[in-house]
Amino acid sequence: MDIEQISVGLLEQALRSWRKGELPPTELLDLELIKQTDGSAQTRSNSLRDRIHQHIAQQLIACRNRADLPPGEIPPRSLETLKTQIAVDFATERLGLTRWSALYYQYVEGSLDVKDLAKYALGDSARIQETNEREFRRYVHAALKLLTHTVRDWEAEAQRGLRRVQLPAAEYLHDGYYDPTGSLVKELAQLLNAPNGVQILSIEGLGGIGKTALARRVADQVTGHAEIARVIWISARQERFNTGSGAHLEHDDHAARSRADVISALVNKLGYEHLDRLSTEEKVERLILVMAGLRALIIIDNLETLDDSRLLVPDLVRMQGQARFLLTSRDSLSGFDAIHCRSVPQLPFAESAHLLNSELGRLGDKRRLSEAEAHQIYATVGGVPLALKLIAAQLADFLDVSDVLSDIRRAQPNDAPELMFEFIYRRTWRLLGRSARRLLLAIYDAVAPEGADLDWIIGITAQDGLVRTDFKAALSELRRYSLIETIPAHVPRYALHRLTITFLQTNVAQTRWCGSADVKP
Amino acid sequence: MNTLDLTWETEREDLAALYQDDRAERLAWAIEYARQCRGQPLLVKQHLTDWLTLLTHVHDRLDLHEAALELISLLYQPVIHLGHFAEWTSQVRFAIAVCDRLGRTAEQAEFLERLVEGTLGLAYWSSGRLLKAEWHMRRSAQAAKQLNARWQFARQTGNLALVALFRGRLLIFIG
Repeated sequence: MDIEQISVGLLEQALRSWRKGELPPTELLDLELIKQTDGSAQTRSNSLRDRIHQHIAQQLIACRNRADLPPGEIPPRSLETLKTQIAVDFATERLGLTRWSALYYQYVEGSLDVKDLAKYALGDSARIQETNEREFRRYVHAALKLLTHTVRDWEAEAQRGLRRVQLPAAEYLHDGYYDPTGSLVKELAQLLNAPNGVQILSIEGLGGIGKTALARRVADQVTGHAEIARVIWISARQERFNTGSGAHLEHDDHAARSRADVISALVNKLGYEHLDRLSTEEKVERLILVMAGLRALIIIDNLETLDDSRLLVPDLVRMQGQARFLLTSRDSLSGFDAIHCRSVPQLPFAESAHLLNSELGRLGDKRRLSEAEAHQIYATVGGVPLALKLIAAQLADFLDVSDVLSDIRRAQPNDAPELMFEFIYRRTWRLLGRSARRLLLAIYDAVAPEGADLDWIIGITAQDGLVRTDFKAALSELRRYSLIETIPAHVPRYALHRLTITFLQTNVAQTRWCGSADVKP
Repeated sequence: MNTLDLTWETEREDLAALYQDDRAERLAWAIEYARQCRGQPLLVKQHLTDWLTLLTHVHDRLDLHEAALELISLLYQPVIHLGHFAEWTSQVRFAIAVCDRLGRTAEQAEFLERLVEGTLGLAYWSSGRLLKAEWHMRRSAQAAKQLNARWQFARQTGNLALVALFRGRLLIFIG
């Protein structure tokens, strides 16, 4: 049903029908917002009626609260109570209260007709009865207009709900976090799913440990749970890191992601694009209202890359309502009481060795690493899944583990994990052929971190002179070295891991060229 | 610095050189593709973040700024129609800075107007906040006047007159 078709007249007709115990107009029974209600037209009608009646009653109580009045009896126990309550409501001369009161007593409570209600609400001494009735009807009509907006919002929300899960495709599902038993995924999903469960959960750990992959899996589990109606994924852009080689990296204001960007993204992903013009503070205020009744799981990936991530946390606390937030961050948020922090542990030795061997198998290398070799690797890079995968890809070319680890050893994971990855990537870069290098750089330059389809990638690389056969070989080379992720979807997408982007960004940025904004002769 | 690091310095130079090699061609392809995508909002939506990535990278190459300007102009309308104000603002700011540097004042005025004042003015007008609308449109008209962008100036003056009419202040506006 077109949202615009939900009109004041249609709703009034429905309210009138319900008062008489009849079904509402059939158009309303086709609303998306009651589509999920099983059963007959009567059941759907009851479901809509209850929701609308409840909303009207809630609005009335809220208006009374704002006017410093007691909530009153809803429904009133006696006619005397009704008379007193409606008179008090109207005596306040508050527009909102008088409107909702008029609507409630006419259509929800419904025991008196307009003539009597107008008399009790507006008095019968100073005015002629007809004037009072007209005025009372105007109040009812004004409240019906407000109700129409609300029902339209509900319906819009329900229609948006048809595309309610906005997760990236199964990114890193097989390539990231390594959790064969799925115990951590189950534990986190349970925390979020429990009726009075954790509202803000932060997954924390080193770069490359698999936080994003874990969050993705948790989201998959939670999606099917009845408590959660929507799942929204917001990804913060990757940061640049300094490799410690002394080169200074410029901060790019245009690329910076901030609290304001996250709030904007949330507004857009929830389908409230029209709020875009508001200030961040105003958006937060509006989101508080939206989230109050929204059972959603909102994932904010790579939170630590925001310039002002700590300013965002209080907003999340205020907005949480019925929503759940799942954050991933390298920096711990344990300083915030409202956040439940869970760090992703490094893989234990046995699982690391298993991952190395299964990666070798995937690459067609039939050998199995000896325990001593696996220990040697584990002692160098720890149980960081991405590092293990990159190392395994190099091992398929080099028989000697010491060769592969020689320069990585200078950077211990506990000292500087980014530095460890820098050395791993340098080595992988050396193993790539020229076409694969060009493809990698083209993807870095013109493909968003969320990935692009093959047609786009072919388009941008056709200019690099990569002919079709070269392109295929280059693509499989990047896959082989785990430099590119294939994101399964209706149209598969290809993306670089965040740490791969950071490696390229760091090394490209350290050299200035003629024609660059900071020209070096 | 040990030997390995020295080796990497050379390799890094190669990496960066390889990266710079085809950037102009990639941007040219992206512009051509944006042209083909006009009137196809779904395609624009699908690749918007890719264009944004490319444009953000282009910021550091002076010689590609003019081409970037063309891409921003091509994508402006469809992106705004899709409602991606937040992601797009930084690109329009960049376009304004480029126009300023290149002395393309008329285009600069157009981008300025698009970025804030005029668009904001219209947004406030449509939401019934006439005082704010008038304020932003007045600033937009002033900017256009200073930059001698006559078309923008005429347009904003017309909008201002309408807002003033709505506010019942036409005489004050004329005065």
